[in-house]
Amino acid sequence: MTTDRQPASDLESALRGFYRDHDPGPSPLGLRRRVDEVPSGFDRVPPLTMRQLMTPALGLAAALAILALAVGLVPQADLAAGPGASAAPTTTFDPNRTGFGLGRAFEATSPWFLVVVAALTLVGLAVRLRGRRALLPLAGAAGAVGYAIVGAFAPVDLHVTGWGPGLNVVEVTLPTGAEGPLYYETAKPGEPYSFGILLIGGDEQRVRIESVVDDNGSWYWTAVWLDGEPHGGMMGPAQPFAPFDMTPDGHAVWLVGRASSCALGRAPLEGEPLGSTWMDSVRVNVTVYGWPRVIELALPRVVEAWTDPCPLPDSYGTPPP
Amino acid sequence: VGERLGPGITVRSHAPATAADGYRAFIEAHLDEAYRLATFLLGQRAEAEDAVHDAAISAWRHWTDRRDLDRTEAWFRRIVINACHDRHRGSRRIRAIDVGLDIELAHHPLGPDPADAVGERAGIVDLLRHLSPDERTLLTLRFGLDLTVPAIASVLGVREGTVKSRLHRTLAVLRTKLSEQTP
Repeated sequence: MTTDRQPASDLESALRGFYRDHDPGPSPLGLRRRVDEVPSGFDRVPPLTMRQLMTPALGLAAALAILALAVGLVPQADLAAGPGASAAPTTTFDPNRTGFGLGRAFEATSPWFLVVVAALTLVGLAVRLRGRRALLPLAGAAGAVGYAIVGAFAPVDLHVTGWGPGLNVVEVTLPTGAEGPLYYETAKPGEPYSFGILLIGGDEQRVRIESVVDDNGSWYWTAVWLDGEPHGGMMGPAQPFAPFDMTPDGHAVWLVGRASSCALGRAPLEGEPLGSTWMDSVRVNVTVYGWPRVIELALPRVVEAWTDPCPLPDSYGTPPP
Repeated sequence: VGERLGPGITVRSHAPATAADGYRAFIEAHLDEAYRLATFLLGQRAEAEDAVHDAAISAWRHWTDRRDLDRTEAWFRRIVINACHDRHRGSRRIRAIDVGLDIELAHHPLGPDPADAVGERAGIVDLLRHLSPDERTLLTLRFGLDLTVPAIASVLGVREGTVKSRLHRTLAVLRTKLSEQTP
């Protein structure tokens, strides 16, 4: 293969001359002897060295981290869906059924840990590979980090655009100029009540509503129901909550709770000296492209008036003032 | 019918040729070139011998794994280059060419004007030290082993156009550096 010589420049001639000047000549006899012994002196299958094991080990670690990341996100959604998640068919609303649609607030520490582990192992793998093969794990690392950043930090297009009183909730007619709207929860102690909210989301993000956060504080939710109208209307609770993807049409959900043991059981009269507690937001567990997040949604104020003094300790852990 | 291992090297199948026979025949025909290549890349004969030995072992261990038997030459050159790069990374002692440079240039000046030739080549030595291993490899394959562009592309596993552009770029850099050195 000594063809295709073109008119050589001075530099090319100099380079050829340079290499010619420094040609080491034939291979030394010692090298020939060493090489002659190779077929008989070395096994065809070399023993694995630590260095050789590092690449598959890093690849395996990266694959496991990504797998754990993927699998790790699913149980959170399942946990949040609750036992009612599979109950899709329409059924009769029963405010005394409890336990579905609520979940602990999502935590994102574990997914971030897995993303960091996966990215580091992929970068470590890329360092060990030559040429274009190194681009594949680097692309994987960039993809994992990019996915995490988008999932964790992208603004979520999710709002409450409508609401309505349900069981044992009444709207208060406010004087002109007063900030409203305002609702009173009128359930007697231990009785259920419900309040509907209409969620609207964009269609450019994949946002999945996984559950309502069960904060278990002064405001006590017992269940979440889905509205019977699938296209954004509010016809009333019709089926137990199951996780769903947001669409531009919107989805109405019904928050079902139970009045505290101090509840007055009616709307207070004007000037009546009473204690009260109220709700003006709700936290929702969502996944954005599968990444777990907690979104706080603003609501109109819903007030539960308390008898004063309360005859019993608050059964939900918050003593009356 | 036989296994073609390079120009003029074919192990006929009618002979009871073993893998070791084919390997030995190939290595016998290519050892000098491998040694030249390694010496050009590493600049030290002892290092070059070790690199070629490493390459020979690696080639033997993967002798039956070759996918394209017609490219055995390029495959082995690539193994030698990798062995040299591994030694370079391991020792960080690579030098472009320092095998008796001063003595050889002093005793064997070439060209019509010995002083100019020595000066230019000495300048090249200095410049080669500042090239990356890949750039030195490219120049060595082209001007040291006198390989064609397609042959270099086969060794490096890139397209011929890539080889041409890299050569052009590397030579342009060398020319610029040389002109900067010239008072």
